[in-house]
Amino acid sequence: MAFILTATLAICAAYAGYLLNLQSPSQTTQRAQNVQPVRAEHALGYWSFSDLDGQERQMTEWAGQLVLVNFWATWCGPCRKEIPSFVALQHRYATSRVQFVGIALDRSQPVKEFAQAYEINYPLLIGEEDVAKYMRALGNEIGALPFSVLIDRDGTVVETHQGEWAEADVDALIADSL
Amino acid sequence: MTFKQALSVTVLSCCLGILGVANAGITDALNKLGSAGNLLGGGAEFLDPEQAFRFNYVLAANDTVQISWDIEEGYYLYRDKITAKSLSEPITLGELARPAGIMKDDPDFGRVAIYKHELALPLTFEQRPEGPTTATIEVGYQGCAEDGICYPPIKKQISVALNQLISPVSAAAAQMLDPPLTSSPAILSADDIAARLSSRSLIAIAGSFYIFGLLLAFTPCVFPMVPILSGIIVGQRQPVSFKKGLTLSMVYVLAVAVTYAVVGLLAGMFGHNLQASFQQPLVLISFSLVFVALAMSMFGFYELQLPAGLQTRLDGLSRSQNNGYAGVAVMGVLSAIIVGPCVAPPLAGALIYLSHQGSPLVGGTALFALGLGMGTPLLLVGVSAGKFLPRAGAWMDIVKRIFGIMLLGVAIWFMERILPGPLVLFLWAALIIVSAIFVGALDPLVADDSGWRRLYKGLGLVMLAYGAVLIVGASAGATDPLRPLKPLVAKTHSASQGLSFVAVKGPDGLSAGLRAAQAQGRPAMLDFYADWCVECKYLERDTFEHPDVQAALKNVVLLRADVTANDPEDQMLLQQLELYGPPAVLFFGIDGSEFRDRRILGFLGPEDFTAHVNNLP
Repeated sequence: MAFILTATLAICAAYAGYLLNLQSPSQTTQRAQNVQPVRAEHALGYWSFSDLDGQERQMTEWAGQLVLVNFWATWCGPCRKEIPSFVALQHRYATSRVQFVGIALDRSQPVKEFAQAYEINYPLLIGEEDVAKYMRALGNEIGALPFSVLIDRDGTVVETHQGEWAEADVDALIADSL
Repeated sequence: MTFKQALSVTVLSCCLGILGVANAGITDALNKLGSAGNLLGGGAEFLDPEQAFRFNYVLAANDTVQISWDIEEGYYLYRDKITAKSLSEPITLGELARPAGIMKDDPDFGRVAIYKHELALPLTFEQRPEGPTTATIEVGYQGCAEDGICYPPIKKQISVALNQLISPVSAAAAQMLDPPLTSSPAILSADDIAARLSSRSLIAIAGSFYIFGLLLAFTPCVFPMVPILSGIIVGQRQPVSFKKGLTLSMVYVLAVAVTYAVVGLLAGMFGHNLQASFQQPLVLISFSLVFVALAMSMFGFYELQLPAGLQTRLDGLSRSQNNGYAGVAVMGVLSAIIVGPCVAPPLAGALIYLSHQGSPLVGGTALFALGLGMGTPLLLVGVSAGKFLPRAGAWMDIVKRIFGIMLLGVAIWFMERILPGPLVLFLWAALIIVSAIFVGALDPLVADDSGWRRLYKGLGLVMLAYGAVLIVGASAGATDPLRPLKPLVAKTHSASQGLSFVAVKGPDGLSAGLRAAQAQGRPAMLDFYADWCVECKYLERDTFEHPDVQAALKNVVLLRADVTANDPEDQMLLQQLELYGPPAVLFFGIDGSEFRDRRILGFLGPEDFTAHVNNLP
């Protein structure tokens, strides 16, 4: 009888484990986000977006610098909240070959107004579907904003961050990567 | 391996398998919980937008599509980002009736209206061609997580076949707070229920359903199970040990729980289709008849039993094993089915909620927990029967008769929702009088009768007299068993002015009523009422008639939504307010916004009600 009980428990444990496995893929993919993607090519890649003047800009334009790409939108509250700290940091590191680039999942008009109101001192690019694709390529599976990526001078991703990024943390990270 | 061992292994593995499912779900839920507050590490894990905002739609009535979202805890949708438009020319949609939502102070946007937990919107068609047709509708929405991320706007295309007559979804059938539950504290704040039902983690759902089950166990619905289970245990051929009593009742309870789990699984799988209209007169009548049949068997008019073939096989099994686990399990399943109709109103609520979840896992786990909750007190019966109950004998007949009377009471209670009040009162009277006769009210006393016999006779006569009064009251048109002579004496009462309610119908009616109150600069109260809602009647009789309550409500505009008809408009109103059905009393401020945390769901006596009203902000 004891044997049967043990066997039953084992079967059930296995069953539970199986069910757990069925459920967990979403978790593992989300976790993968924290692991820096190992990428052969430059993280700025072949992506291009149009700027506020309608000019197509290649992301590689900023290659060779320490680049912080910030994905945002004017309709996204948390994004608007963190942008002043990016402006401050861009100002602080103006002479250290550090470049902030904002990519908005938005229309051009509200972004222009926003740029003026917030005195944004770094390039802002606009795009819709491509932005989502680029974010995904950089490891943002759920496509939520804000999402920021710090890219090294040799084109590797130093860190990705989903959600508002504290100024002090970004500052420390930039100082470390210089 | 003997049959007995094989059987216990099977039962065990079934149970553990279900526990396994629950367990997996719990881990999942815990992971989710963990991810919500995980911002500190820098790499917060947020839900996929499809999981954060579970979108759903259903053809709620002919030509009305109900779109809805289940919003995960910690996430919200913006009110003004919700859009819907028809992509099929020339069909056009009417204006979107977005509920007011919750005001959120956004550091950047100021005060914006958002929705949390749940949102349901009716889409009506403004223009559409005659005849069956298919409409493609594009629904847009956008939301954020409280922890500081936002999702890009999401667009969904749904296509709906119009003019397929579909009976309205019976939302008001979901009376989570119908009389069975009211032996528990009657006032449950809306937040309680919202917290119990809206929190999405499986562990919370299972816990809530266990508690619901426990509450159900104290309703008359579970009465039939007691004699069945004691019968099983007392019917064992040897005296039952404590352990045996416990095991037998556990097998029984698990069988009940597994049966409900299957129902839950189905509800999860088939969603809205399973929202059977539990309030249909036909359904109520058949439930009632089942209970009458059960009662008759309790009185010994006939023996309710399994078909002879099955009975002998089960008997054979249990004899050969000297153990009747299989029989007990089968009885458990049957009991669950028999009792099912009785717990239908709360069960319907649970099922509607589960079908919204759209997950067999959640459905199965929740109802399994419900079954376990219902069965928990039965374990005590099993154990105590093993310990204290003497062998079957004459006392069982008395117990059976008492249960018979209670079962008849349940049957009448069902009919209360569809029969006219005086007729119901007459039925109660008949029940009381017949019970009095059973107690021996009219049997003559002889000189050497014991004191007990005299006591019974006395009590019987009291019942008889009361029954007679009820009949008199019923024929005078009274409806209330506690005040049967009211119609006869009412004239002499000072003609106290009752509260006068303004009837409102549907979401539009409510907003019109609130606007009128606003125009007068007065707060408003909305009372949900239905003819079949027993609690509502108590509220009306005991609370609203009370002078203190009337004084407290003097300056309040009184609105009443009668949802007896349960038509699409009623359902829309209930859904908009996130209510499962009457009874419900809602309070609105001078600005027309509801004091959401001050809802009264259930009966509240005059004193408490007055205090509640006076404490409103």
